[in-house]
Amino acid sequence: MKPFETAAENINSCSVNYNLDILGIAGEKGIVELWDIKDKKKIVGLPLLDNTFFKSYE
Amino acid sequence: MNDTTSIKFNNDGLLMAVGNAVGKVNVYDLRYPKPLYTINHSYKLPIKTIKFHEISKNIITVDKKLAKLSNMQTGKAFSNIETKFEINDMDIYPNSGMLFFACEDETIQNYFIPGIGAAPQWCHFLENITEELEETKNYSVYEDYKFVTATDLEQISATNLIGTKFLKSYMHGYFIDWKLYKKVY
Repeated sequence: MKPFETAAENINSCSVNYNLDILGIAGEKGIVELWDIKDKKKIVGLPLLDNTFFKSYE
Repeated sequence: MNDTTSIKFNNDGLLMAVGNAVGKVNVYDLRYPKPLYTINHSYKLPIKTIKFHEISKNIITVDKKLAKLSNMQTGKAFSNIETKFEINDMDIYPNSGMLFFACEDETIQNYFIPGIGAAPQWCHFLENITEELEETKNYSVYEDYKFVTATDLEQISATNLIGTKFLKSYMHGYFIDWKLYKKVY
């Protein structure tokens, strides 16, 4: 089993989305990443959780 | 302090809730880039766990002091639970209104909220207790009395009752026995 290579230094929480086969991870510095479980490819990474920073992400 | 501490998807997989270290939970619809709403915990403590209560369409977000129940679609607050001890984790008994809290104590704290679901079959007696509590009516001390002001007393020509045992002085008026009021009215 090859591990998921996330960008987070520490992972605090993870959750499986059974319907879409996605693994969500939440880590330090506000990192939230969604991974395809089967392909082990990163789908998207949300840079910061805070709403005020979210505009720059768009 | 922007660390994310908890993440959870709902059953249909379209909602994603992400809690952070300062008591904020952002709820996203995966089809939309911005959060649908944010749940703020007043103590600003790290979010320990997040659960979706599917049958009542609520989201339960937990920090170490309290669990907050909010509507899953709108984020509108439904209820709060504050436990005696600091919370470490929480889980829901499936398809019921029963919640279990693992706290900084030897005992598991369990809470039953009839507003979000029925009692599990193995403790259906909780339903009976809930019904009994609903039926028990709390009678207030002044239930059989009517509040009247001095002007009201003048109108019904009952000012002569002032100072007698038939009127109880209260705030800017008096309480009068309901039967007596009906008699003099």
